[in-house]
Amino acid sequence: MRGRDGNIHRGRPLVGMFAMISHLGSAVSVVAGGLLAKRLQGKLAGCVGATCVGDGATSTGAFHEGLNMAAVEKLPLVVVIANNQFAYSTPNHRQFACEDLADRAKGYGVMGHKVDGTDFLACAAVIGQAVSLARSGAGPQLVVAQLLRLSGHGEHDDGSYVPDAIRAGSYGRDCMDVAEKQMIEHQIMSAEEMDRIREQAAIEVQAAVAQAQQEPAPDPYREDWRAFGSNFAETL
Amino acid sequence: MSVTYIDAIREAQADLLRDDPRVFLYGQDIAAFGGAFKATKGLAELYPDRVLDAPISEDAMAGLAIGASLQGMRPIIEMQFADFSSIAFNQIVNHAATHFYRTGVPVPMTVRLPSGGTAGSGPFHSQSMEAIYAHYPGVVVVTPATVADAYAMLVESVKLSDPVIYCEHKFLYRWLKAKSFQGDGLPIGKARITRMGRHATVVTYSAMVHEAVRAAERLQQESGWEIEVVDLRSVKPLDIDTVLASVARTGRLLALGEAFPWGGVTAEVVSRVVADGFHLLEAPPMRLNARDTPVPYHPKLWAAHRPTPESICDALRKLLSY
Repeated sequence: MRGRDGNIHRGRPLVGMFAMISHLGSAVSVVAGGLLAKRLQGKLAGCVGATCVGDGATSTGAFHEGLNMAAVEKLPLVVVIANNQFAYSTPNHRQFACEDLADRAKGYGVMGHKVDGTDFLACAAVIGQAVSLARSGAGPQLVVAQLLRLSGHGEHDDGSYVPDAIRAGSYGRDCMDVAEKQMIEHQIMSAEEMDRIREQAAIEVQAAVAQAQQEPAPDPYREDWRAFGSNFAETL
Repeated sequence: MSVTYIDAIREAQADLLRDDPRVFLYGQDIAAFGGAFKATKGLAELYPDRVLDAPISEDAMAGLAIGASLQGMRPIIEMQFADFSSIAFNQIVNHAATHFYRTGVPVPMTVRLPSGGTAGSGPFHSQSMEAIYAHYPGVVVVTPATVADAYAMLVESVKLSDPVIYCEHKFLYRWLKAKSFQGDGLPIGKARITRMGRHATVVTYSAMVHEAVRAAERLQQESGWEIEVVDLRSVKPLDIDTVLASVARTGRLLALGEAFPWGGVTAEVVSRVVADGFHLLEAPPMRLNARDTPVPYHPKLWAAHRPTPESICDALRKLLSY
């Protein structure tokens, strides 16, 4: 709803794209709940639920509870961990002590998968396999993708805490560049086609920005300040 | 033949499961075992797919209910004790409660909180959490005090499109009996005058309604005082109109609750009456709550921790003598 929540917390809850909250990790059980509903409604066949969180979210209780619960219910849930090496400024070694987050899969009784998160084709293959396994009844799948956040945690953050050695390492490459090269090399898309899509995307983004800038800001006097869907007569 | 408060909760869930295929129950030990308090006894046999045991994961239970309700279901989750819902706090107040305002899509889930103290239950099986949840925009909080309300308000909670915290009082489970589940049809958001009076108003809810009525009867026998008792029924929405109308008749207010004294429902009632009805008051309004310590284990300490008919009478005598 206009002006009510910022940046990335968007979703289309009525078509199965849930609107995340800032408390990362809490989405795991919510997606599991959507899948359980589909099971109860007899509509689960062919369905897969997915959520993507960072390395930091794996330290939350909600992540643990959600993945464990999904495993107990054997739901077709794919949890992708984008391990971008830093949760805000906190490096992996201050976040968890296990060798690899994928090793946790065994503890949850789910299947674990590792992938180079900067490698587009590898991601497509590994996540595709995880989706197929989930869809075929193998229960939740945990995919751990290694990559590096190339920018800061937000626009206010220059990410200067990331050591040069890590930037120069294998995860330091720009996954978008890699994907582009791979798609051209494997003839998934030609360079010309890609340029066309890029141009089209730029036009769409410019138009969206222009529209947003022309629209009036939300008006506090016209705002419906009700937090309930129910129509209570009281002033609460 | 009589029915109890816990019978009403079980019956409401049985009827909801029978009448609405969107309803399912999720909670710890609620399936074959029938729940720690037997509120779901026998329901898993009737509806094996829709009465499900949960792992000890209150956060995930609430998260699952959010996702399922967004997918068109009407989940009822049972927190084994209200005290344990602290683990689900984030999902309830940040995820479920904000959802309608953020997205325009409501989250119709019901969270049952077995609430309040019973002798020997101690600090972690006795809490009253209603004010904590009522603080947050977007959550309905109901506190039934009668057998009929326990039934009707649970059915109504599930039909509402918003997340509802249903605070059921454990002390009332088997102690409170009625001839039937039939009630007066008051909706959530409306308070009830449980006992008419003209000298002072006690505004309360849940199990304290019964303690207030006892105190009122005692004062009537002792000295002819006629005490009005208002049962809020739901603490959010809060029916301040019924409260103000009562205070307009009596001129004196005691706000009574079983929760801890800092802030909370009684503070909210007093502040609203003072702000909106200062001119109605003939005496400073009073509050009576539990003591400001964790709920003690020993029955003797517990009985003196919460308000009792004796301490309510003392407070009312003070209020009436002002």
